[in-house]
Amino acid sequence: MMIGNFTLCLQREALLGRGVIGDHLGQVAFFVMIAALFPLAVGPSPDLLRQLGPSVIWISALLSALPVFDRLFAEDDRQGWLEQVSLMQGGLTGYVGARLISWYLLSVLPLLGITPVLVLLYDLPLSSLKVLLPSLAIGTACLNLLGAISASLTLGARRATLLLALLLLPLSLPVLIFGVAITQSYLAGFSFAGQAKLLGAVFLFLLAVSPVATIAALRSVLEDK
Amino acid sequence: MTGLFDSLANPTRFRTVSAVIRPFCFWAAAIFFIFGLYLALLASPPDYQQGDAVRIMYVHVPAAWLGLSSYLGLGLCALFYVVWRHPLANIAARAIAPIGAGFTALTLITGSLWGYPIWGTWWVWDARLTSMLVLLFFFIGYIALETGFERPERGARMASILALVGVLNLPIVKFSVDWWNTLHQPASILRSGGMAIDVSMLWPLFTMFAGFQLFFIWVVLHRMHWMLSERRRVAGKARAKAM
Repeated sequence: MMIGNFTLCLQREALLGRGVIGDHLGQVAFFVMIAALFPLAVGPSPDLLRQLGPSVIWISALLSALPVFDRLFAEDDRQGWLEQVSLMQGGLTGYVGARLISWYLLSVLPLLGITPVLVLLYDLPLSSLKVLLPSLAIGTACLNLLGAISASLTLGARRATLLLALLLLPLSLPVLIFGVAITQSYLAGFSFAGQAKLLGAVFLFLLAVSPVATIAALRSVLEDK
Repeated sequence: MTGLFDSLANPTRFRTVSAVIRPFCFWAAAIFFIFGLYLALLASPPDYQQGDAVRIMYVHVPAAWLGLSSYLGLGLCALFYVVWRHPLANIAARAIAPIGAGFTALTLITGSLWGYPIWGTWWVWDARLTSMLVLLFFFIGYIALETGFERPERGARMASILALVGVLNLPIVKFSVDWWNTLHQPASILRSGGMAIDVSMLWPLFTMFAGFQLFFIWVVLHRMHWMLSERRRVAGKARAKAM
């Protein structure tokens, strides 16, 4: 049964998770650093920064994910775990599900935790957090689903990190557009329900497509062995 | 239909058939180009608003159509390769990708040359321009992934999966970009409620389109022929080495 495989993989992720927290804290530091570059580049005018704030936070979230995504499957491939798990009942499906859930929790929760600081740095109203945080939570889930496709496709490639970025960035445009629009509409005092529904629709679409593509790519990797 | 595909899928038979079709496509493309350029540059009227600048359209619009349909063709080839493991489908996809990227780039370049006299700027972040740029990124991603592995077969499989994801994702990107901003004039040929273009401009456009399409077929068949020869040469070398 797939469920048995899934819980087993989830347990494994929970055990191994402690070891890779450092990577994801580095990602959070990168997130803050990218956001801190913008005022230095565009100038410290509070009005301008308030206007740019939501976009900067989203772009930082997107860029900070890039340098770690290539590790999503690389370790498990190198250590032979991918092969092992593909022979189990349930196969790669349970593994990919468990891996994505643990990756999401490890990479997104610290990022959401630090976001209020960026909101203060960009002088956005604290009330915007109640829109920004949920939209970032869904948006980064979308990014992780796209990252899973990109990471599995570039597994074992030359310059895998660069390739991954080339694949991921164009695919993630809708997430960026709808995600930023939610907070901007809220700040402008408009209804953001439409944008939120579109972001939700993108998430559901990716939830259906991403595991299929990821598993197909991982199977291809294993065929080469 | 399947029978036709199956019989053409044999690389040797494909080479024979394509050797017959290629010269025909080449000369037909040349004739359509000469005739189309005459119609576009000399015989068609200048636009009442845009003057002679409108003649860029006769290159811009066919290039845009081909850029888009190349990506669709790439997706179709990828599907054939992923599902039926057809080596020829992969060769076709590899042959199409740089050509499609070239047409997409040509669309962007002619678009900005057209935009400068009409809009007064080389580039605006308008929805259709932006989606063409994203399409170019998709092509670049495919080519980079396809050539990014030590073993070409692995690159081929990974790039095919990417092309399929891309074909599914492209309408969403297109929609999101449209939603994000629309400044560009709406589509004037393929739209409900008839065409918004005069017949005197339509004929040169279709002639040029036929020329572009035939040229595209010729280049792709030529590249496929070249890739098949290359594959045969490498295989022959390996066999000679083994003996």
